[in-house]
Amino acid sequence: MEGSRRHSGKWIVGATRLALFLLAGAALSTAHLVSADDGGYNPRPNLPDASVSVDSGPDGVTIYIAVSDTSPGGSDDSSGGSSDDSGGWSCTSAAMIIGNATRDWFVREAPLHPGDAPWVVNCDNGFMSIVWLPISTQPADVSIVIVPGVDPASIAADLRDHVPVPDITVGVNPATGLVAMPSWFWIEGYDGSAIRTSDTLGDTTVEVEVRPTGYRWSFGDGEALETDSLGEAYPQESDIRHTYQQSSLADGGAFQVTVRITFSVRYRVDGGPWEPLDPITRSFSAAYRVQQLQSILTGQ
Amino acid sequence: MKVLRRFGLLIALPLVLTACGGGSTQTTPAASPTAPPTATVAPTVAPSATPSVEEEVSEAYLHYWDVYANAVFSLDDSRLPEVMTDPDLERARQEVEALRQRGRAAKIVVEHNFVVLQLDQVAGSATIRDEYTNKSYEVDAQTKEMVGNAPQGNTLTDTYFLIKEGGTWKVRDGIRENG
Repeated sequence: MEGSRRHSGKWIVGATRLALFLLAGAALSTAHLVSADDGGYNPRPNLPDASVSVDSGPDGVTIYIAVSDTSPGGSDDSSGGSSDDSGGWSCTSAAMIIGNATRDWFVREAPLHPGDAPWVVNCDNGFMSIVWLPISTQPADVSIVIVPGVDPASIAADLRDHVPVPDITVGVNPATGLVAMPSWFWIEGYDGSAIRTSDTLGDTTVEVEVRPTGYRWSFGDGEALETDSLGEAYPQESDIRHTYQQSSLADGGAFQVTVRITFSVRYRVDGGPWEPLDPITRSFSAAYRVQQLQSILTGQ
Repeated sequence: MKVLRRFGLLIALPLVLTACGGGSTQTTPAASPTAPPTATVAPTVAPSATPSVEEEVSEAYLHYWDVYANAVFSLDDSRLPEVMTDPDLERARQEVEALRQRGRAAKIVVEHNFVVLQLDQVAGSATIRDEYTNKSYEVDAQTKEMVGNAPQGNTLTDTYFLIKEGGTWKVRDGIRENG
């Protein structure tokens, strides 16, 4: 049996709700009582939690179950194999049998997972989950790893947030700009190649790769340019050019030229297939003086 | 239906799962279609526990939400034992108490999308996985007016374990899957 039913109620909006919300936010003892930054409430906020992720690679499929101390059975060490025994966690996985109870659910969910079939993860402590694995997956290909307290996706997100992006500087020619004369810009200290970083916890290695996908140049005078190139260092002709229409005198003496780089991010676990993560951006700036040339006519 | 048949023909190793995925015995055997072994494992279409029992569990689960929603809105936990038992009961009581202490209550607005993963009539246990849309919000405990901004909504995935106690299906435990 699958079900769909809505619990709903009348929305009551009070005139002072924002102030009350702020007070409520200050009074919250745990962040997970409220979802996001709105006035939302997550039902059953004190349920134990766990997260399940899948890593499919040439050597098979690994199902990671990250557990917290409050998860049923508690947290413990990790082990491999399709039937594991990790302290309070002893889990197996098997292809899901679609029966009366799951037929409608399957028909609804299957199109969202093309090429995959649902498997059920079943742990002795009662935890169950559904994962979608490649349809060719054999039981012997599947192993389950219990990860206490962390999961590869969170490790990857942490690595992404601290990825060692080179110390980029903004190159420009001429060194002092001239009104009505194009200035050329480029990125120095970085060739645009992918940047990788990794971390290993126990037997699990998480790699993160960031790759630039776009550069947004802001020239400080209100003009901007989106490019997919780093530009070319002088004396090459850079394709990133901008012509100022006024001097930087009224702008504190120099325009703030900023390039914001957007990086796509992906990660993988133990050399498995890459999985996407949310992109990141990094900005680099330089002050750029632009002068107005005065023409002086001389009579002969 | 075509999709289901296709998967059914691909089955190679009919895996012994209980009614749709459980690990223990089931009341209605999974009558997996037999097919020549191939190199592929895929879900099969098989009858599971009788629909009436599934409906009973589903209704109990929805009733659990009704009672829970009423408890956190009215801050009255007296009816919670009708639909849940420890350790879930204790957690729900703590939740009600935490709201009460903050002068808040909660209006539960959820749209369920659940599936009965496992059902064992003999043992009296069932597992439900619910990936539901949540637009619940806090209200003032006295005025019942919304506190804060209208929620944008989120999706939560919970698995609930039910047991049959005194002829009634009750939620015994649950776990939240973080995305």
